[in-house]
Amino acid sequence: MKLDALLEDAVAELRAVTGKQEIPTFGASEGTTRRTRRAAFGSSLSLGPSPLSGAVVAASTGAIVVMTFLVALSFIGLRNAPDEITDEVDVPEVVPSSVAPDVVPGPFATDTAPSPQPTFIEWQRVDLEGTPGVDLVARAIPLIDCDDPSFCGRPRGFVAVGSAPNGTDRSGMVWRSDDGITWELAALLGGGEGRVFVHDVAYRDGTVVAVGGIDPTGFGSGRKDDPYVPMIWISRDLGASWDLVASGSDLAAEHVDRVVRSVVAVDDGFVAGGPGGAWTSETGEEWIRRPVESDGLVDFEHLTAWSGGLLAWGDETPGEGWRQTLRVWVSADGVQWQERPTEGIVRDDQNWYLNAVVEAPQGGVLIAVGSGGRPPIWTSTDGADWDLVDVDLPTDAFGWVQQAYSATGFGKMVAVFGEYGARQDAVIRQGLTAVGWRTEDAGATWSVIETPSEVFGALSGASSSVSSASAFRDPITGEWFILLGGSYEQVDQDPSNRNNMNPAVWLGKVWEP
Amino acid sequence: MARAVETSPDSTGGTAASGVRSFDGFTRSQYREVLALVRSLVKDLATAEDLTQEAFSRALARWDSVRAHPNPEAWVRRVAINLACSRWRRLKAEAAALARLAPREPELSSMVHVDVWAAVHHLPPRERQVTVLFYVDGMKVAQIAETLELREGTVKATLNHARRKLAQELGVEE
Repeated sequence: MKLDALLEDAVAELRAVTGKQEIPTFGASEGTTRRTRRAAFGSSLSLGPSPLSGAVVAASTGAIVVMTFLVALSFIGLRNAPDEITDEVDVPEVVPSSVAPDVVPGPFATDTAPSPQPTFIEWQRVDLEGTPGVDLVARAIPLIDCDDPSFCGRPRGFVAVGSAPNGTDRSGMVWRSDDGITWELAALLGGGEGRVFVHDVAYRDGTVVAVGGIDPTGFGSGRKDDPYVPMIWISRDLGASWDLVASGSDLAAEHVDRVVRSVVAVDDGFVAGGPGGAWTSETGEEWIRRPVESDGLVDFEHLTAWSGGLLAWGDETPGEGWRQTLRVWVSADGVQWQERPTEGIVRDDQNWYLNAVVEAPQGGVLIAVGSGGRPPIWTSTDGADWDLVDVDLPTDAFGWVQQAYSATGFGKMVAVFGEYGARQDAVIRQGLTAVGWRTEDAGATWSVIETPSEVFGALSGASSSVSSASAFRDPITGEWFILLGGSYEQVDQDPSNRNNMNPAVWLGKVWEP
Repeated sequence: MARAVETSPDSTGGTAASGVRSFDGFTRSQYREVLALVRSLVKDLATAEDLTQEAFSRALARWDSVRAHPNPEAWVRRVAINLACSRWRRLKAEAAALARLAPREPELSSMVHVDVWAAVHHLPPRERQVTVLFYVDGMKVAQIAETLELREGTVKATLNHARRKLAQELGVEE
């Protein structure tokens, strides 16, 4: 047989397969595609200071560590113009049209989406070392020595916590990084027995506190035949080595079946939360239980510290009619807590739940995002009374927004991250993909943060999930970065096995005009 | 055996030197052609669909400019090819990490001519691109040269090298 004949047969077979494929709709009415404002923003985005300017600053200050940081950023290309690095794919130049343009709504365009803003976030994903199976990064944080990230120094390092399979058990995992780019597995927490989850991490004044414990289901609710063991670990060397400082009865006394779910840093120490209430510590080493009196279930699954105090909430179990239950508490000091009504958040006709709360950078306004159909958004000025914002987070026609899980506020922006899933009748059918939104007016209007396919898997069918978001600032250039923690499914893993999620962090550089 | 690139107009758009007016029409006339092209460059149909959709998404995102391009068909092919090859490189880089997780069966094995496409995939990127544009997409040498921004002589030489390698690997006469 000759080569041309063989190739002709092969091409015919190939075309028989591809010729049967449905042609997707890309138009706005049916399937507006996500992507890409990159080209439109490209010409105005060469804003990063040149390596020379960084060198001058570093030399003038004698700050070698700053240079190291800048070099690290340069290494991953974060200091280059986005078009020079993120478009690994060459896109041919096109001739500007002299014809009056059609009205073609851009990616994610909806009636509620504001006009595209010349802010661009350039992302890089870092896969962390894990083990086969479902690996999770629960939270990734920069280690910053100040309360207000707008005026503090460079991060001293970065820490991510989570869990990974360990035979039939799970290990608590801690990863660390000096620059946010190169990460290493620093420790397996929990002693190698039982299903250990590290649920949260916080940093203050040289101490990193991680909380979690032996948690048979990972959800922290009690079960008599499979007890929980709450644990708190600390690190004094930026996450390199860890000590178990409290566990079991140290933390819960008569309530040893409780696990620690959340932790935040406050002015005078740390506050941790979980089923039953809160714990406080000045140094991270000794913890005092702060029980919360209540007629119902007390579960401080989430904690947020803001300029007005502390906010705790929890209980995501389905309530009457499968509606999520939710309970909210506020505190000025982490010691005394008052439960607040949730009528402003929970609605009888909606199965809503509150996932993340962040203070708008302008101060004084809390923005909360949640889940249930299209993610709801609420605002509050005191953490007690909440208003539902009448806005839908914009999405595209490939799918529907599932959840809004995490949020961070910085500069003028609040950035929220969640995930969306495909419509059953859409071409893309599998996977939940990370997606982000931002607001610069305290939640009144929102636009999409690009989460490009090559980094977040959006159009590839890969699943990605963002569980935490934090922001930090380069003190020399003033540039903002976002650090996300979560998990990512490699696109060419066995698609029949949806349980292969790898731990990952994403680092995003914010290009502002 | 090479076929000409089909750019016939349809009722809603199509092309007229190139004169594309409607993105929907452009997609209907070009999508499966580009999908076949990309499919020959990657290991499975799902990946090919992803990449093809990405290419058309990019076209839509800058449609005003693309439709005024002298050759929108070539434009979207170029983007798709670049995506496929870029992705392929990335997957190679990730293979080491994935190998420890789970072995994978190549999905092309479901096709009779798996050996042909395996041989095509073994070609260097430029030879692979020229080969699939010539055999799968049916482009003439001049069209390939325009699409890949190469000289025609380079295209011919590259195609000859690729044919020789393919014949050798597949054990057939050139």
